[in-house]
Amino acid sequence: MQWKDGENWLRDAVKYVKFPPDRRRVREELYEHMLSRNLELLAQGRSEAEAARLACEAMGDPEKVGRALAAVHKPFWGYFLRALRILLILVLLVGIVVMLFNWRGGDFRFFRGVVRNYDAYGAVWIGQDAAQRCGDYRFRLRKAAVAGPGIRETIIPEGEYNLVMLLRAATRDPNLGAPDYSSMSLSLEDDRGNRYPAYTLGCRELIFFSDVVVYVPRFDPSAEWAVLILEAGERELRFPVTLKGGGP
Amino acid sequence: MAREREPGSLDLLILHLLGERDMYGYEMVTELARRSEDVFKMKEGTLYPLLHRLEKEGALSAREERAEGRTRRYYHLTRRGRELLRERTEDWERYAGAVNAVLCAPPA
Repeated sequence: MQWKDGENWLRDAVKYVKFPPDRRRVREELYEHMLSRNLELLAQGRSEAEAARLACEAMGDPEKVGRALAAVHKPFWGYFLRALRILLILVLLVGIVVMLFNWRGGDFRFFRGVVRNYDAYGAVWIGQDAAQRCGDYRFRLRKAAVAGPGIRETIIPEGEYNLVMLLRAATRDPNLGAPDYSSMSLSLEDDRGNRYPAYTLGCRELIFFSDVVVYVPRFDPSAEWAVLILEAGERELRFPVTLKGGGP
Repeated sequence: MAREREPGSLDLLILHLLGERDMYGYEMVTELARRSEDVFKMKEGTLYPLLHRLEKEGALSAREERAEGRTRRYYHLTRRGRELLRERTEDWERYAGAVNAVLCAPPA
């Protein structure tokens, strides 16, 4: 095919289709049609120039065809669907980032307003011990971190250290909220023989589980391990926390 | 909603062809010309706005097939397209019957 004629015809026709992906698809289809017609004319013994001219003539007026195609392929819907696709991908990416962040220990960030200056926490221990059942809940100590003046920036007074832990309570009942921690007693023992009262700070409730920050002020940072003790009525749950590579 | 069309318009012929088997555009044009002994020899470019409109209306679906380095777009008549074909055929038969009735009726 003397492709210049064909190219001109295609260019004049598809320029009316404004959405690029549609324009590309339309062009490919029209090109395939013209090529088939051209090959047939050549097979009939026409010269290349004549075959190209007749193939273009057979297609009709490019402007008329182009405008009719443009009426079907309106750019608004093309762009709308493209924007929708991009939006969905963005939502998915943000979801993944949030999920990864939470997985890496962002739970402390969630409680930022309560714990304050969470960046100050170092020596994070990721606990994955077996869950312990108590009533309708299964408790699991998920994380622990020591905070003190020597660990990055801190607002904790010189010479004081805190232990912060994240306790998760899971339930199979979607109607149950977080456990009533006010009716329970929380304390901490360490390997130095110290026993501290522990406090709950802020609670994040989700369906099937809730997270609460357990806070032990003025903690002895030289301890190698500690045990968080949760007393609920007759039950006593003990959650070991490894602090310096040792263990209870 | 689709506009009212004349009975026996190109839509009907295309839907009918695709009711027999899947075809690509050039194949439809040559088949129409062959069956009508070149009576239905249209400007070939005008076929594509019609195909794309029917595809958008859900009467046709399309798939691309690659053979010998060329990509052809085959059209397939959907269930909705079959319903449309039935309606259009009935319209055409009613219309043709009315024309015949007029032509064949003896003068009053």
